Amino acid sequence: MRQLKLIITILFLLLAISACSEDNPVENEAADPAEGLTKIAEYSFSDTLATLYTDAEIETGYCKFYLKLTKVSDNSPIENAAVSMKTLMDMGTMKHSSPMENPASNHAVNGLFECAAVFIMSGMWEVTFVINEGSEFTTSLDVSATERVRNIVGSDDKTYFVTLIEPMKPLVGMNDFEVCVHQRESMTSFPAVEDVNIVMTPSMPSMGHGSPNNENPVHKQNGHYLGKVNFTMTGDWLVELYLSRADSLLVTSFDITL
Amino acid sequence: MNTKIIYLVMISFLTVASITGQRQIRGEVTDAASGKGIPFANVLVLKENIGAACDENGMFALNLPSGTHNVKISAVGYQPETMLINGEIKYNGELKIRLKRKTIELSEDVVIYASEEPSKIEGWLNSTDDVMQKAEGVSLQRRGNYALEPSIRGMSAGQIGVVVDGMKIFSACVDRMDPVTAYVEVENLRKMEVSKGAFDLTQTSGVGGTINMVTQKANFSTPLSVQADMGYESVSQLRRFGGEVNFSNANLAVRGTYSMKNSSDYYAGNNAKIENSGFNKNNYTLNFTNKFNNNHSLEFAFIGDNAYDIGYPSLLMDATKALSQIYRLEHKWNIPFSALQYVNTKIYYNRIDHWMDDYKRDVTQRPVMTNMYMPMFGKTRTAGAMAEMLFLENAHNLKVILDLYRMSAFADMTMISVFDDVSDMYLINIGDAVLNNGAVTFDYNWIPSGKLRFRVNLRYDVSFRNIHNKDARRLLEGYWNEKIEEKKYGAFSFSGALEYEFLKGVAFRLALAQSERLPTHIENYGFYLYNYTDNYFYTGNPNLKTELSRQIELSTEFSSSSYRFSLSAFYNNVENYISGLLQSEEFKVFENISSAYLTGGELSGKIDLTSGLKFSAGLSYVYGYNREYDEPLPMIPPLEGNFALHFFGNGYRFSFGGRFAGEQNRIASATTSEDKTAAFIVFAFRGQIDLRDYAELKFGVENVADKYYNEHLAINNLPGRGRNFYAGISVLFDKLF
Ligand SMILES: [Cu+2]
Repeated sequence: MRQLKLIITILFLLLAISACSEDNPVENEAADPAEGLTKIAEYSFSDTLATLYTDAEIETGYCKFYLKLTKVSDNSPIENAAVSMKTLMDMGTMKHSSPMENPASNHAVNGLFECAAVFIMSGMWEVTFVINEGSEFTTSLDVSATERVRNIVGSDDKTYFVTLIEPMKPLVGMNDFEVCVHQRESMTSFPAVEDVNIVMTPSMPSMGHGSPNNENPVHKQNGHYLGKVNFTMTGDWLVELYLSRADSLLVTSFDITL
Repeated sequence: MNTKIIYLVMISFLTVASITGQRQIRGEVTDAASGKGIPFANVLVLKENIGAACDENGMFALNLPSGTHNVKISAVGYQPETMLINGEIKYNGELKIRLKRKTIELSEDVVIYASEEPSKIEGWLNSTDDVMQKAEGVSLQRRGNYALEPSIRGMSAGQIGVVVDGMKIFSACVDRMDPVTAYVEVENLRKMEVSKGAFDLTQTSGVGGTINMVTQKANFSTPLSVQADMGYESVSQLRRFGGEVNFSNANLAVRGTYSMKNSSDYYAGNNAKIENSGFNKNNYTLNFTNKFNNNHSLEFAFIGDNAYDIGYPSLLMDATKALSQIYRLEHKWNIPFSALQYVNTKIYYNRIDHWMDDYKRDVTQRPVMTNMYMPMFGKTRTAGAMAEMLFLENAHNLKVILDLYRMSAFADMTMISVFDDVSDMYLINIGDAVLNNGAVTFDYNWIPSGKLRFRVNLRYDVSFRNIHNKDARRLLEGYWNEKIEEKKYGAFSFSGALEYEFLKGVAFRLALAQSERLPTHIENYGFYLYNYTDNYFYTGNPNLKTELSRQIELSTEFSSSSYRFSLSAFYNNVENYISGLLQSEEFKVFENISSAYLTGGELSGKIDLTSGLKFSAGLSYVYGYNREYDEPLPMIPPLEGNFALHFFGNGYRFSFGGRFAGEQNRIASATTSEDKTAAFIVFAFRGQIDLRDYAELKFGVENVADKYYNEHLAINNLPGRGRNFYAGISVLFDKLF
């Protein structure tokens, strides 16, 4: 029996050695609301310091801005303010604005006022933030080009912008898919379109196959549509979108490379 | 299943009186359980035609010429034992031979190397594949000229178990290029135990059967033996070279072997060259056996097998490198004359790595995966432990086997377009799938009389499995649209058999079994695995249920000293049959889709026509039916058989025979896409001649008529090998000088 015990001990050691597995790193939560964000501008008006942050590169597409307001005298955060933004691109012969999103309320969320703009073309943009209808500041942003915004004319002859928001960093397997849809009513008015029906089909053109279990994006709010896209391998994917709205049909697609 | 404890007994108890060239051996043959002498047992010196019968107390005396002899001891109702007696060893004491009562043999041995009657040894065959084909009911799936994959009674892959000395080894290639049988060269194979159906549950719980490749061990019978082999096969210009060294003293025996094979493309019949079918491989083994005292021995065994540039003409790609290392440490503890007869414990580890690609193929012309190169890699790692103990008491014996192992598997592929503007694609086919398995088996035999035997097997398997690679998990979770949790399986299998010998030489057997087969790691966790038979990409299903099989087998055997006929018929009903279910245009998933059955049988016979002339023949048939799809099961061999006339005498052996198969028109079309296969017959001539006692020649012609044919189990109708002249010589250097 001694031999048996020895063998069993060796076996368990062996199994224990081969059973080692990788550890998962523990993530810490940031205390500062602006931690992890990139500061792009700073202005002060009398007792207010406005700091502007973004969470990604300044590129064409959906771009989020975070405004932090601080009372200079006692360095305390300002939680209530009416914040709105304006965008402007001066092309010499014409000027135009872009779709944008102002904070949902006058209350800061986690100490930040969140805004967003959809830069519909690359180049120099002037972005103006208005605080409590008296103070405002303007910053110039050099917006670089991406393929994330599609400018399409629907069968109703109206111009639409379809912007890919997610996945920004696509992974194999299931990804959240998000687009926002806006319509150009005038050079300065780009309202969100909230009533399109979207059918999405991802595929790999070089392989001639798609993937299962994709979920068509459906409207959540402010022209944002959320769905799921499944990438079954790395490589070049083509995500085709068929948007239909009353008597208008829009067809567009995005190339996503993993 | 025969546990040979011969050499332990031999060294400790042998007696000899040395008289010029002749020695008298005295001995006693006893019942292993009771220790009582077996009256009138037979002692036969093989090859020499001398023998003796025991008296009523089991005692015998025998005059033996000098030299090494195989001595076979047999008695009615007992399992015969064969032992090697060496002239150089000085015995002091009596030869004590313990025979175990004959139990129901649920496996069939194809003996290659063991000390047996020479006419039964199949060591003159050229490859492990040839050996597998010797067992009726075993058919081979051909993908190239290398490592054919066995199928037993129409079942293969995860439905059958292929083990080496009981060790679980898992193929690394997701395209089934590397069946486990590839790792044991015929030179290193002592015998192959083939059990058909789920009646013998001692190795695995498969529903189809098991092949246990028992390797050759270090030999204690000679102080030093050095052997070299070389050979040539014309059909593929195969060159092989090998060597073997065996050293031993009273306590330690060491055996090392090396072999290498280089093969060019082979030719099918009518001189049709099969492109991309060459291979290069080398194989080396090491076996140390140390006896601590009469009852304990420790064995360390290693097999290394490396193959390079192996062509697979049936498939889209070729293997560039296949490396495997197999380690085993085994302790044997024999306890003579006690209720617990022995405890054998082993631990083992093996690692298999496999690389393949299609850089040698014209990817622009093929219909699937056009304009895409697909280098792939796969590996498996398996660590396990087994303990086997035998309890013996008069008419009862019970073997208890504990079987634990952990395996992990990984496989991936990159798809590289011939066009520069297409990004590389990457896919994990198996993402660190880990299976932790444990099983306990009870193998109980009851032998109430010399005529009646019962055998019952109970086996319970548990398996905990999961997938650990994060990307692969995302892929599978995306595919199934659900979270993948650790999967636990419990599988209970049992079988029972009774054998009755109506008259001497006329036996009848009934066997019943119900077994549950665990899904393979590929069936659970594989992702986008291309299947060459139906051109679909298969994805694993983490929620598969076990396959449940209920089977019955009836067999009968007629034998005398000059003939032996056996006939078996089986019926195997499988519920939750795991098969591919169409998902979308090019994709299938593994599902428990069907209920299916397989039925058929085998017939084999051997007759000694005169001394030195023997005829043997075998026939097997399988009928498989998928009830769910109302069509035949795929990959079912047609009626097939073999026959041969053997001439043998002192120092020579010849055979001429044929192998044939009927047409297979019963093909699957819904579950896969097969096509019909025509009948064929091929003939072979084989010879073996001993040159003195230091060299042995073997030679022959296979497919004598150079028939162009393909077997039904050949993937993508790959034709079989054309006419092949082969010759080999092996030289025993220690006998030469
Ligand atoms: Cu492979």
